[in-house]
This record gives sequence, C-alpha cells and structure tokens, in this order.
Amino acid sequence: MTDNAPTRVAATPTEATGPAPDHLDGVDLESWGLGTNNATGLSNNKLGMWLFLGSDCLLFGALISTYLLMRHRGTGIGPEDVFDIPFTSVSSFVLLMSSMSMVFAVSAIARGDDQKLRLWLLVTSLLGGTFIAGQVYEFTSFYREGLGYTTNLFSSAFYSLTGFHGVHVTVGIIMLMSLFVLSLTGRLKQDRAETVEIVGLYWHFVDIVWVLIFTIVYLIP
Amino acid sequence: MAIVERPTTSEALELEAGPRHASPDDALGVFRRPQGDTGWRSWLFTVDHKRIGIMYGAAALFFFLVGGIEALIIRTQLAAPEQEIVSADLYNQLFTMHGVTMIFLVVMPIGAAFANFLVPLQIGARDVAFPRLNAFSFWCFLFGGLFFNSSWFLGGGAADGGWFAYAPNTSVIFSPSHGMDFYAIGLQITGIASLVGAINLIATILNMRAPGMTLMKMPVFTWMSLVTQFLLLFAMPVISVALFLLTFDRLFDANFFDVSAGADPLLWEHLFWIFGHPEVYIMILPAFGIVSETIPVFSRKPIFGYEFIVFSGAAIGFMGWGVWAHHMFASGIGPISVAAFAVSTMFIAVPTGVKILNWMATMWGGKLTFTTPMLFSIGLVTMFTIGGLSGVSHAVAPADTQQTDTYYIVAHFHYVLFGGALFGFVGGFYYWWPKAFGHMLREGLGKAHFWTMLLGFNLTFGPMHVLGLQGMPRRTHSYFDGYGFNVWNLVSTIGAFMIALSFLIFFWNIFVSRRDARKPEWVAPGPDPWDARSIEWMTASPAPTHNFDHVPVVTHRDEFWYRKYGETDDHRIVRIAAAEDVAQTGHRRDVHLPAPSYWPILLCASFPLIGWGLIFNLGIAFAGGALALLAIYGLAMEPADDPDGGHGHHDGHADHTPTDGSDAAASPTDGDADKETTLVD
Amino acid sequence: MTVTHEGTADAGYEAATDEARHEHHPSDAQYWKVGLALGLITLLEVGTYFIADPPYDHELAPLLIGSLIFMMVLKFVVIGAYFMHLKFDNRLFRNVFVAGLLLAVGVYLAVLTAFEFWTDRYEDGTYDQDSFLVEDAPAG
Repeated sequence: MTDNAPTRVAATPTEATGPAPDHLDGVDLESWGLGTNNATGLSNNKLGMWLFLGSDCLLFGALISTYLLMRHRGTGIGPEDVFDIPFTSVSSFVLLMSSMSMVFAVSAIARGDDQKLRLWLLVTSLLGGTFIAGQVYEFTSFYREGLGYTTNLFSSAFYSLTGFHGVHVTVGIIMLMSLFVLSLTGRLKQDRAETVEIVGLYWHFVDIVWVLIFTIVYLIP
Repeated sequence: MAIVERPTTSEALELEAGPRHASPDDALGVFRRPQGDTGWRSWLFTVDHKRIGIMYGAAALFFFLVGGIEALIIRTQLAAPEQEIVSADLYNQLFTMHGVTMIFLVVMPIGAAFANFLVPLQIGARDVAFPRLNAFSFWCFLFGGLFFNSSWFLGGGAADGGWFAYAPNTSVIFSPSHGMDFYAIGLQITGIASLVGAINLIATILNMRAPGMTLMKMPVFTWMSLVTQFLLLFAMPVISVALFLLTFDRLFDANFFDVSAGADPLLWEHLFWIFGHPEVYIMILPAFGIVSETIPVFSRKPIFGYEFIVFSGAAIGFMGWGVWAHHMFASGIGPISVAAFAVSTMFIAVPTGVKILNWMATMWGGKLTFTTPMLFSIGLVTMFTIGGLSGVSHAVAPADTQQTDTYYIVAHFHYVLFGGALFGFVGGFYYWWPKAFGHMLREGLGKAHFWTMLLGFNLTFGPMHVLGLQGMPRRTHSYFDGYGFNVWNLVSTIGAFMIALSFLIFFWNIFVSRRDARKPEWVAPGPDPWDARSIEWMTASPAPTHNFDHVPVVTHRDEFWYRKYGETDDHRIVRIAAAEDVAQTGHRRDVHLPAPSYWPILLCASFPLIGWGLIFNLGIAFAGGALALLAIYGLAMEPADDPDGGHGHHDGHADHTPTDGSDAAASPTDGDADKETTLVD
Repeated sequence: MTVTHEGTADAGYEAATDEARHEHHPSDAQYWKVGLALGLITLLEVGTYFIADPPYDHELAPLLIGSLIFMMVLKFVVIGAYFMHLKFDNRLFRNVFVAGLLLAVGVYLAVLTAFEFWTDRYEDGTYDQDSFLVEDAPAG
C-alpha cells in the first residue's frame, strides 16, 4: 500500500479479534527502556551529558566572542600590561595533567580498583584546586596592578570569561570530591563506573575550554 | 534509566548479593519520601510526564490570562487618540511584560506541555529519560515566571525595556527601576528550565523509542519536538550569556554595554537575536507538529510527503541559525551583512512553504470532517500563511527599513505567533483533551470558540497592517488625533475584547465538559475517539500512569492505523479490527514506576530566593544558594526509584527487590547535570 | 478476502548492537603517552609565544599565530578523541557535541566578522556615507 493511498473505511468490521501481543525475537520487551536495552543501546545519562556539553560550547563561544570584541575597544590597562605568560603556562599545564589523572580514575573504576580510583580522584581534585588557587592569585595580582572588574571593557570581559571557566572548574572539583566521599563510604563501586566516566567528560570539557582560552586570550593578545 | 518494570529479570537478582545500593535512608531523607498518586501532594512531587505536561499547560494558561489582561489594558489605552488611561511609563511596562509573558511563559511552555505529555506516549515509552529532571524543569519554569512577574510588586516598576531589551536602553541610567533585573534573572531561571527540558526530551526521543520505531517512523509531532528541543539546547546558552552580561552591567557596574567606555551596543543585538531567531521556530514548530497530526486524522488520509514535512522541519532548524540579523536591518550593521541576511531570510521561507503545501495536499481529495481541532488547524494554515507573507516582505531590506518599529511588524508577528502557534495549540487542546482527562470538550462550544477567536483575531491584528503602513509607531503609548489612526485602532480594540470573549467560551467549555463527565448518563469516549493514527491512542483515555501495558512493537509509520486497517487484494482499504480490540486496557497493575520526589520543587524554590537576593540583599541569595546546594545533593543521592515505597494502586506487589543497579547509578548523574546547570548557567 | 498485514519483524529496527557496548578503551600506558604529547605541545605553544614576541609586529607573525591556532586545535582534538573517548565511542555522542561546536564556531565567527569586515565603518569610527544612500538628502 502506498503511503498516500486514499483510505476508504469498509462498512463492516471483520471478525478479526485484534493482533497478538507484541513480541520481537531476541528483544526483552519486559525490561525495554532499562539500562542499555533501548532504541540506541546507549546510556541516557551519558547522552544527557554530551548534549549538555554541546550546549555549553555556545555558552563559552559567546563569552570568548565578547572578550575578543572588547579587549581592544576600551582605554587604560590592556592584556599586554598584566599577563604573566610563564605563570599561566604552568597553571595551564596543571589543568592539562588533571585531565590525564581523571582518565586514570575512570579506568581504575572500570577495573574495580577502588584504591586507585580514590587516589586519582584525589589527585585530579588537587590539581584542579591548584589551578583555581593560581587563578585566585592571578586575579589578585591583576587587581593590585589596578585592573578591577569595572575598570574598562577588557577587564569586565576578561574576568567574566575566566570567571565562568573558574566556576565550571569549581563545580567539577565539588563533583570529584563528592565521588571521593561516595567511594570512601562504599557507595561507588564498579557497577557505577559510568558515573565517574560522565563526571570525567565534564572535567575534560572544562580542560579543552581552557586550551582555547589559553591560546586565544593569553598567547595571541 | 529510571523505569523498572516488574517482574524483574535475573539482572536484579544478581545484584541482591552484590554491592550495597543507596536506599532512601542513605539519601538526605529529611522527610519521608512522598508516595501515592492522589491528593495535591501527589501533584507537587510527581515525576509523571503526563501530570507535568498538564501542569505546564495549566501554568501557561494562567500566565496567558495575565498577559491577556495586560494586552487588554494596552488596547483600551489605544482605543482612542490622546488617552491617558495609563501613563507612558506604565505603558512601557505593560507592553514589555505582555511580550515576555506571552513568549516565555505562554507559548514556549505550551509547546513544552505538549512535548512532555505526548512524546513518551507517541514513541511508546513509559516516561521521559530523566523523570525527576522533568519535574525540575517544570518547577523551574513556574518559579521563574512567578519571580519575573513579582517585579510588578517588588521591583519599583516592572520590566520596561521591551522583550528584546536592547542595550544600552536597559542600563540603570535609562531604566532605573529593578524591572530589568527581574527580567534578566527571571529569564535566566526559565532558561535553565528550557535547557534541562531539552536535554531530557532529546535523550528520550533518541533512546526510548519503542522497538521498531525508527526515526522515520516517528509521528511528525515528535519529530518537530526533537527539532525544537535541539534549537532550545543550542539557543538557550546564547541568551544566558547576554542576560549575564546585562545582569553584571546592572548589578555590578561592568562595562559591556557602556558606550562611554567604548562598548558596542550591537553586541547585545547580535547575542539576543542569535537566540531570538531560533526562538521563533522554537515557538512555531510544536504547533506545526500538532497540525501535522490533526490534519491527516480529519482528512482520513496519511500525511502527504512525510519525508518533506520532516526534512523541511529539520531544514528550518538549521537555517534558523543563519537569519538572525534580519532583526537588525535598521541598526547599521553594514550593507554586506544586510544583503547576506536578506537573502538567507528569503530562503528560509522555502521549507515553511513546503509544509503549507504538504498540509494542503493532505487535505486535497480527503474526506474532511470539520471538528474543532480541524478548524483550528485550518486556522493555523491560513493565518500563518498571511503572517508568513508579511514576513517575506520584511526580508526585502529596503522595505523593512520602512516597516521597522511600526505596527506592520506587530501585525506580522501576531499573525505567526497567535494565528500560527496559538491556533495550533488550541486545536491540540481540543484534540488531545480526551487522552489527558478522559472526556471530550464540547464540540458546539468549541466551534463557537473557534469562530469568535478567528474573527476577533483578524479584527485585532488585520488593521495593524494598515496602521503600520500609515506609519503608526509601535511601543508608543498614544497617538494624536487627525493622523487617520483612529478608526483602525478602535476596530483593533474591539477585536481584542472579542478574543477575550472567545477564551471565556474556552474556559466555560472546560468547566461544563468536566461537569458533563460526572453525570450518570455520560458515555466515556473510549481510547480512540477520533479514529486516529498514532500510538498514543492505543492506550486508555485518560492515559494510565504507566502509559502502555505492553511496550508496542512498531512496524509502520501510523502504527495504530495499520493495526485497525488493512488492504485487500484488490487494493481496497478495509477495517480489520475495532479500536477497542487493538487498544490496550491500561489495567496492568505490576509496572514499577519512578517514585515521586520533593527535591525538584525544593531546588526550584531556591532560585527566586537567589534572584531576589542578588537584587536586594546578598544574604537572601546565600540562603537560597544553601537551599539549592542541599537540594542538589538530596536529588543526587536519592535513588530515582523508591524500593520501599508503595506505588499507589499501580503496584499490586507487597515485596520489593532492591533497586536495579543501573537505576541507582542514574541518580548521581542526574544530580550532576543539575549541578552544572544550576550553578553555572 | 485476504487481508495483508506486514509481520512484526522489521528490518529498520535499530538493535542495540554489541559493537556499541564493547568500546575498547586505550590502556593506561597509552594515556601516559597522550598526556606527554599534550604537555609537549603546550611547551611548543609557550615557546612559539616567546619567539613571536608580542605585540606580533614580527614579519613571521601570521605564520606563528597560525601555528598557535593549529596547536590549539590539535590539543582540543586529542583530548576529545582520547580522554573523552570520542574516537572509540558511539558516533552519536560525537555528533551532538560537534554539532554544538560547529554551530558555535559558525555563528560567532559571523558575528565577529560582521563587526570587523562586513561593516561600512572606517578605522576611525566614521561611516561610509554612500552606504546610507543619502545623496539626495539635504547636506547636514
């Protein structure tokens, strides 16, 4: 029957008693929708995180564009006057390494190695904390050099962009520490490895945003 | 994955001996976890997508009343020249609040209402992918809307910068009341709701389709919802950033839109319209989906060119990102930009035109029945076409510079938003009312509603074309006598009150239909009152909490129709089964559903506190933040499913096996997603 | 009368394939190598910065800026492909992320170029009067 065939309803219903119960060979319909037994075989949670990260690209894109537009428009202190490239390079490196330790945490829980999981979660949080501490130090020293949030266009845009990134890192650290505590209390076992993987995706995303910021904001002023 | 269907499989039995899982006692259970599905508490704490959809609809109709009263005051003020019923200042607040309310608190949430209610039913799922996040989205929208409207009482004047809030006109110097702060923070809150809802519904549509339902077998409404949710997913962060910049400017003296510091006000316009144009399609595509469902049913034909409908919808989604600057033709963006965006704007009329032709071809040669939903659907097709044509006239940039800021624009967007989106939505209300509430709305009153609304609508907005071409500026609180504006303004005001009358008929219809359904002689409409095509009609009316007794296996587009009708050897279409024989009874009692939760509403209640705190007193903001943090942890630590809870009358089993492993794993990540969106966005 | 009705089995059914679940992730040793490579690229980036010696009036400046952007994209892709498993995972994950990324790059580049190149504004902030078509208007 073609899709667009005109449908004329027969006046008398047939003796049909309705179709047999739905079944499909090889598919467990009773637990359909559970776990990965669904239309794509993918986890909802992981798909949800990836969708969120795709969305967050537009958030940081807008902030970076705002910064690029504003950095040379105002007057007063500019990027060249305050940036300390060696210092920022070190903190960029720290964040990059935290991404690597995060990967080790994910592979530790996949193996069921709780000791290593806690070790790498702690290392990742500490590296993230170091980065945030570096950012606080950087902001403080900029402020001492006379660059307040309201000083000029450059300062408003710079602090907003890096501040938003800093908030993302902080949220990531909170999530990592929560996982650490969950693992200590025995509530984060191998069967929940995906949870660590998803937090890891978030963490790596925060890292790649910094990869962009480091080059676009710091290295090409 | 939060939906456990019992009897459980061997997977759960294995886990019994496995690692200990979080039980509600481990969670931050201050109060006993809510249970049951009757009484008002069951609505506050529900995670059922159908109830959430109904609450979205009810809240949106409430805001529709608020925005409608604002519109009536505006029209009364403009009924005659040189009136002073409201001051110019109050008039600014009225048109701003009217616009924002209708767009963000009426049309978008009604789209969300239909998507929430229908998508899981149309794809054969038990619920959405993240039921508690779904509840979060709704409460977040409602509290955001209430927060925004609280500016009437707390803000020293409501928002007064227009719904587009062009900077620097919205800076503290030009808009000294707190109204625009409420605007910026309120829309931020509703934006979180939209973003979380988008993630939820996309995951639902991609992952939770019934076996056999490939993407190209999905009902058109589900397809249009998918496109809409992708647009929301990518558009909301853009307006978020714009609103953050505005908030920082207003509250913390940043310089983003301070022209004296060298800022470029075009930045706001770009960011706003990069969001704002996809927003237009976010509002109209759900209505397109609705009429793509109703027109085939009431033409007794399959939709003409399903692939064209779907791909033109997706094309609108893509192209919607390349036309935003046509809102800025008069802002000095330069001739190259203007030319480029004028051309892309003309192109985007093509996929929309494709849809119009598809609907007409569906009706062509069909056996039309003019029920109320069909009348409203035809209303959309005709009224939206008028609005679309005036839209194409804006794409001609030289003409647009004449039309900008006149009533011609007001006429255009009301024809597409009211004549398009709202006609479709009201038709959808009439069409799916039995599926939601188990009884039909009265047809006679429905037709009276349609004809008064159609007439009132055209009387209100038709004359605005003329007024606009005569040069009457929008957003101006009065006009002088003798410009030739008087007659058409009076007609427009009469039309506005006629629209009000039409909605009084609608609300009366809701009331009497409900009363009818309680009479002893009332006959239930059954699962399939319209002889419909898609599988949401394959379950009982009203849809039971668990949606389907058995997950249907889908083999066709219009699956339900193919179960009712077959084709003979000589190519005649005959009925092979009665709807009642095919439809499921909804009587199954052993389906284990996600348990209600009080954390979503508690979390959302913290957002207005944070908002008021940022504006008035940071202490309140910190209190709100603490509540938010507590609620996020509560939500994250709580298993999505309640192993100790009874599940109303839907669970006949007394004993309970432990929560499924994947289920327990679901909850922390649910919360994690919350954490980011609440703390960061 | 015979009534034809297709069976319930359908070729279009997207089964959850084993392939999708059996992602083989790199070993820890490979992660060390990837991390080392990323560190080296960062070192190169910083080195390039000091060779370029801002404010970039060097004659090789376009080349150096180009290589900085190239290294940035390289790091981005490596982290995404290996640390975020996009290279090994289901393509749907990659697609939703790349959709957002490309959309962001597209619209924001359009905005930035609209400010820089597409405008009729001169360097000094004045406008090209011809673009307003004001020849017939009385001179101001």
